[in-house]
Amino acid sequence: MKRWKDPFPPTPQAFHNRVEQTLRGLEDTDMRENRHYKKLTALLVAALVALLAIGAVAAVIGSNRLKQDLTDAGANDLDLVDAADGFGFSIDEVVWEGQELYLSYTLAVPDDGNTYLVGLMEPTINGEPVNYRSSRYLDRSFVAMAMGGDYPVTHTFVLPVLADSRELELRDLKLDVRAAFFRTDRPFEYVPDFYEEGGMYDTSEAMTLWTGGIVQQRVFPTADTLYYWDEDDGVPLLALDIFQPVLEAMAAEDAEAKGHIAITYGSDGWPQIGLAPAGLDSTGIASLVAERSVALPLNADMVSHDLYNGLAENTFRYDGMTITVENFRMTHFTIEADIWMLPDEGVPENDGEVDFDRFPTLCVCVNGELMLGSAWGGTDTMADGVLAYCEDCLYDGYVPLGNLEKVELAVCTYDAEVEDIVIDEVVAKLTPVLDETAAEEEAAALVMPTSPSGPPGRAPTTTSTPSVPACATPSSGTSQTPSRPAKSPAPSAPAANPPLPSGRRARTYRASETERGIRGWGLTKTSSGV
Amino acid sequence: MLQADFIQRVRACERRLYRVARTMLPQESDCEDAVQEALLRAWDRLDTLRQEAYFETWLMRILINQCKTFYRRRPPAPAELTEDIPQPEPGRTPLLDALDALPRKLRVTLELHYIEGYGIREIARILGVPEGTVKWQLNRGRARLKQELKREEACR
Repeated sequence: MKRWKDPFPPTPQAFHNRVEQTLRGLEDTDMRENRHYKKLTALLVAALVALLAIGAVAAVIGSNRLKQDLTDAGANDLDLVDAADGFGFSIDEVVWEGQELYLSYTLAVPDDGNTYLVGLMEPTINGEPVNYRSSRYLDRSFVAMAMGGDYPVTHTFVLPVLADSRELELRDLKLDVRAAFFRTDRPFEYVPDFYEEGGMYDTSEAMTLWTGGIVQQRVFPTADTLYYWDEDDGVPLLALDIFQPVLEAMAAEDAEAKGHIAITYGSDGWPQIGLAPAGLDSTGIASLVAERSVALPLNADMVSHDLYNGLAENTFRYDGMTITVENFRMTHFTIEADIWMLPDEGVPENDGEVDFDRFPTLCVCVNGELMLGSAWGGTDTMADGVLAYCEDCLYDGYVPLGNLEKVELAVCTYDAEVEDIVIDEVVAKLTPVLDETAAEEEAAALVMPTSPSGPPGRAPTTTSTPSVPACATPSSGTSQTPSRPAKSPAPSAPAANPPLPSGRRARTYRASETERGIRGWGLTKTSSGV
Repeated sequence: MLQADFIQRVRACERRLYRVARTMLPQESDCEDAVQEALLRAWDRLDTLRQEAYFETWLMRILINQCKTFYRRRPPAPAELTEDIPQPEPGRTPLLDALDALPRKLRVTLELHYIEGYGIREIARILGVPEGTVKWQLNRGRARLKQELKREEACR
């Protein structure tokens, strides 16, 4: 990457003075330093157990799809349900891909006409708090949702637990998750549309929490109405991460005083922030009426791997161009591939004019919906957008195992109005296949993580260099025929631990209907979409 | 981290703090306020910084969020549409003018990458968005920047 020359004017003296003034005003507290190191030690211990990240907007993936499509592979002797008095919490299905764990969980409240605020408390692994990482899908804060009353009394979410690749030990872990149920008498109102854009509405009554990197949300504890985000499935997602008790607790010197800030987001070096349904109890908004917890053992032999590692056909034609898909692999929730779209006549010289609106990138869509993270690749060095590439693509999203015929490759364009890419045209249908030989070879090279040096649960794949096609570099004058960069051979890693079982089919774990016991909670009202 | 270390590291990245704040906020006075608030919060939340190696990135993230707060409090007034390109202020460069003409999201991503030198992964963490989004914003930002630079050049 070539850095630009600093285009900014010299730092104003007033700015410099303000920085110095602020620094001079900082208090010097030895207590702070001591507390910091004590806490650091504890965090390091926790990090050795697991560094995990949990995507907060679980509903992004889709609330009930996991339930519908993942296969039941047994292991039903787990304690996956905690239900009493109409309040229930269950973990229904789990897929663990070594780096990413996805679980579907169901919450239920009594159908008694009351409205409850429900949310997950801080999960722990082997008793240590899970460290959340805020790098994915955390632009909203999953704090609590309204259930009961005018809202559904049961609902199922999918919660992605994204492992930090450096230090996750894949065996003998136990994930504990708690749900907290609060009762509230306040009505709800949808957050105004202009909220996200910082609309000019009166915030004098609002409380703003510093969320350490997450988009800030506001709540009005003194108001009669609570605001919520309306997710796709219709269950309000309450914007309750802003309230005074949390602010006060965060400002408190004693770390113990922050005990009610249950959920912490952040990983290495990132600030913890406090967002938790537990804090609702002291806001006057709602009062705690029940807690339910579920424990989930995580063992190495539960880890599932690639479902597919190739395509039946990997070359396609589109509008005078050839599309080639290489290094395809697919798991329950991700598709990786290198995708190239090259014009038959070669790539003309890059004259600096790029038609981004034509071929911004290639995308993978499933059931007509773009997979998350599709905005990869690009055309920035291509003339007139005649070539698109997507090298080392990683598409995140739910992969419908029962509808593989719906996995398609699409050309996408950027919609300036929605500030996102949209499907322009479906180019080809992808037919994933599993190459057993390649899978076995990969399994043999699989390394259990013992050091921070590499990702666990997955052998390294071929690496591609350089990051743009060779044809991207313009030559003088004439057109040139595009060519793909050479691939370096797959590195082999030493087997520091015994390899995982060689079975290639995904293993999923689901509680039986009896264990799940949703029906046993005596609920008569069903939630939307369940 | 000791107070002296904190101060030293803040001073070392003062220029970067200014550029990031200036990218987010058009008013110099807002930049000053935002960086002051960010420093106070960083100091107050220093115990949440788990690896000192991430200090600068962590601080930038705090600053950007503080700038977002300012931005929401006082969104910039929409510029009046005009055919004329105003004369650049003293000390301003065409690149800075072009950057300022971009949407804020693209502007910040470009600034972090091409001026501050952050990698895509770091930017994703700083901004709290997926890496794919960062890549897209870089792609889009570069294209828009080229357009703006050409437009400015043509109007000069």
